[in-house]
Amino acid sequence: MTAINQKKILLSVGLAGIIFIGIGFFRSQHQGAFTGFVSDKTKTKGSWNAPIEIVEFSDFQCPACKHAQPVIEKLFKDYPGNIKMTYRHFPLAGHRWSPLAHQCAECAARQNKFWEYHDRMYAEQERWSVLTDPTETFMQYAKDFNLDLDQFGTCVGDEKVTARITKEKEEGVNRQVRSTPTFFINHERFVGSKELETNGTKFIRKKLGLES
Amino acid sequence: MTQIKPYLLLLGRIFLGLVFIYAGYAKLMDPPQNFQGLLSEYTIIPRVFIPWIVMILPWLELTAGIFLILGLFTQPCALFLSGMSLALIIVLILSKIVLGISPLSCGCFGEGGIQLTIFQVMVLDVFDCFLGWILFKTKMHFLSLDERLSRV
Repeated sequence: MTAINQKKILLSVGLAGIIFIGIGFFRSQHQGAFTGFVSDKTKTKGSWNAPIEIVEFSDFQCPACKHAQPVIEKLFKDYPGNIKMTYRHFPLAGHRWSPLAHQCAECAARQNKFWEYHDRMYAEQERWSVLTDPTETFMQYAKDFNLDLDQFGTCVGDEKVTARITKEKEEGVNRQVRSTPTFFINHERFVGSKELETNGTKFIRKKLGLES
Repeated sequence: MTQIKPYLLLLGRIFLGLVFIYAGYAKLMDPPQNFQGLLSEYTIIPRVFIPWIVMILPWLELTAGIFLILGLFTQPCALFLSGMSLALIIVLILSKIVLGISPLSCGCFGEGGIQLTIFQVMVLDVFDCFLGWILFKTKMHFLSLDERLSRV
């Protein structure tokens, strides 16, 4: 090995070492301790004392989030009484109708019809996502679920409701949620429907003692 | 043109290096599950490889990007980064054409970071692949540690 190559290799190893130590230091500064999630009864379903708690950060206009719904339903079906699920708003900047969709869903929550509204939103996502203005569609959903339409209409324009949604999104951002859907299963992170279906389910089974 | 060429290649090195430094750094600062979730959506990637890719790739991207800018082992780094870009192009195309699916994930190209669509990522990757190849084929780089050390 020539002297030049030896120098290059030594320099490379030294530089790589500095990079690893530097990144390790920045990472330790970056990752803070997270406190537990605050449960929200209006947007929580399942057994309140269930051993498995799933918190989902989701966007109503996100196709991946729609894709995750059957996976979630299967978990409730396969492990009855063992799952508690809480929804957290995480409207993405690139989805035009997300803010309105989340506002309407939160307003449905205030009349205790969140999950019905949530299911309808995802079921008809392809239809309302491409509308010029889905406001009428969202109002129709409220009508279909027998919500007080005056109260609903006032709520949709309420800045306090918007602030609530923003706060939930900030909670996600603080927890380094970068994409949707992101799930926290007993505080363990799983990103995307594929991960929920595979590693997430495996994690749940281990926690329930169904797998070693 | 001959006078400008070394400066253009230097700009190219800096650009390509910065792209991969950003890519690697962003992945390393985030929980690894974020990158793992993204890779899982590309069903064409065998699941058994995913944990290894998550663990190793961001470090390689960051280190190769820094080395490229400094001009240390410039040609191997350029070839590696060109190959990385090509690999992603192939994965995206195969996912779409062979499996007929687009990866399902929203915000994966930048909620909280630089926001790119899948098409923009493809264009960037094609450019990076081409640029990396040109840098690989260049024997000696202006203002590089390789050149400096060869003179000692």
